[in-house]
Amino acid sequence: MQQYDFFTQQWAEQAKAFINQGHTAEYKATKLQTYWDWIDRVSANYSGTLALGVTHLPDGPGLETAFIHLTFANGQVTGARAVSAQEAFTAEFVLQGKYKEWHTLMNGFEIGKGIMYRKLRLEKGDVLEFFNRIFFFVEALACLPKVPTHFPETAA
Amino acid sequence: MGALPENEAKPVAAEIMHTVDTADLKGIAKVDIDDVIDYVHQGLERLPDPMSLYSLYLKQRWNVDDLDFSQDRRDWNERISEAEKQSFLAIASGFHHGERQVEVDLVPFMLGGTDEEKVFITSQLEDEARHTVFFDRFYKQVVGLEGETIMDVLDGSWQHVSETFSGAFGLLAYLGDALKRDPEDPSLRVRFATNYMLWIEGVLALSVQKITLGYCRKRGILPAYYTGFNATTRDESRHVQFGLKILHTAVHEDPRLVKDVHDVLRTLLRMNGAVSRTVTYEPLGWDREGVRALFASQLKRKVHAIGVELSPDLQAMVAKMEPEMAGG
Repeated sequence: MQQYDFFTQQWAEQAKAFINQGHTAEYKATKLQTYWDWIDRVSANYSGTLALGVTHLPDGPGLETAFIHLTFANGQVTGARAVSAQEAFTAEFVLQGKYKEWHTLMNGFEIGKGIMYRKLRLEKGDVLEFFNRIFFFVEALACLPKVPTHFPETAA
Repeated sequence: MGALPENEAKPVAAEIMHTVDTADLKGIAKVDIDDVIDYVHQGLERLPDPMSLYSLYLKQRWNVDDLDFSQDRRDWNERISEAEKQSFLAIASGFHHGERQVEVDLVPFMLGGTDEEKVFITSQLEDEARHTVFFDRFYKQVVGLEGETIMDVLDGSWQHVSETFSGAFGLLAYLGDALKRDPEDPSLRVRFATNYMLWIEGVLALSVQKITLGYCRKRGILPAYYTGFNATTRDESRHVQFGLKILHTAVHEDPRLVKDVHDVLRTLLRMNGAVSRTVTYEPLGWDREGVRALFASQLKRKVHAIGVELSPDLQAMVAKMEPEMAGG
């Protein structure tokens, strides 16, 4: 199976595809329908932008960063691009975390718990607006581990 | 079942008040949880200043190492049905994780406080750390979870916590991060205190305490849990009174900050509609309507105490609150 380098343009396009594909029926069955109904309600009219950032990538002295920028229209991802930090911070929300934290999340650590534990931090955006759609964002990010990913070598 | 009248704090007999106020750990074991909750609400009528609350802390501080969980262990294994265990864990595990979260997320709020507020918050930090250790001991020594670290044990009880727990507590973490960037910002302080002291401690915690402790007292089981958690409830009375005093002062000095109270409550109540798993209360002697009424009553009392009215849309949301909040 082809693997995509973490946080590259190709990886961003795969992320878009998997988020739009959504979760399997088997996965959805682990939570009540009321939960999915809530997500459908808050996402149906949601159009906005979310940038994801990773810092402390291991391919260097420890300060390298990478960003992808996702555009949502009516709850679907319509654009996904690898961007610079400057462009990432034009997004409505910027969620950012260290590479080692992303690696943990990509290996199945529960996204909501990861937010609560600050594995990802909201570097830009209105906190209340973000939490008004929190489980939509959580479940979108929970699709990312499905991307066949080639990670950089072990973080320092 | 447990429907409560929606009313203001009922008058508490001075003698009972004095008992709750001064009891040591052995004494608090005999106090009815309802009296401790009444004690909380009586304090809301006065909203003491931080240094008075700090003096209370020095008087009411208890030693978690004085609790002996051996009878609790026997009760858990011999006197509690599987259905009761599942309901109990679904609710108590939210507290297990909640105590850890309010411990680690309180510091940003201290940074922008007055010196008197900083003194009190250091005592609250110690309280929250002690509560975290209390639950760590309960889960290891009574429930039987294994782990070398506090996080190991937390990871063990996470299976009982609803995914949506990370809503209110993730919000707390992110509001704390925002506050760290500008600890003295009045709007950010009001948002944080509304989530932490009004909602998590004043509504969620007090409701959970009433449900699980009422169950223990009625059944005559889990004596160390009852003692430590009853003492925890008394500790929470200081925290809630402190937080509501700050909110009361803030919204009266600048009425525009009422919007921040409303906005946080609106987000919390909106998240409450996302129920990912059902919590069954009946084995603990409660039904869904009773829990819903309990939450609504707790919320209205706290909002009333800070002199704020709920807007019509918030009142409508309160009427539709889901009782799964007790599990997070």
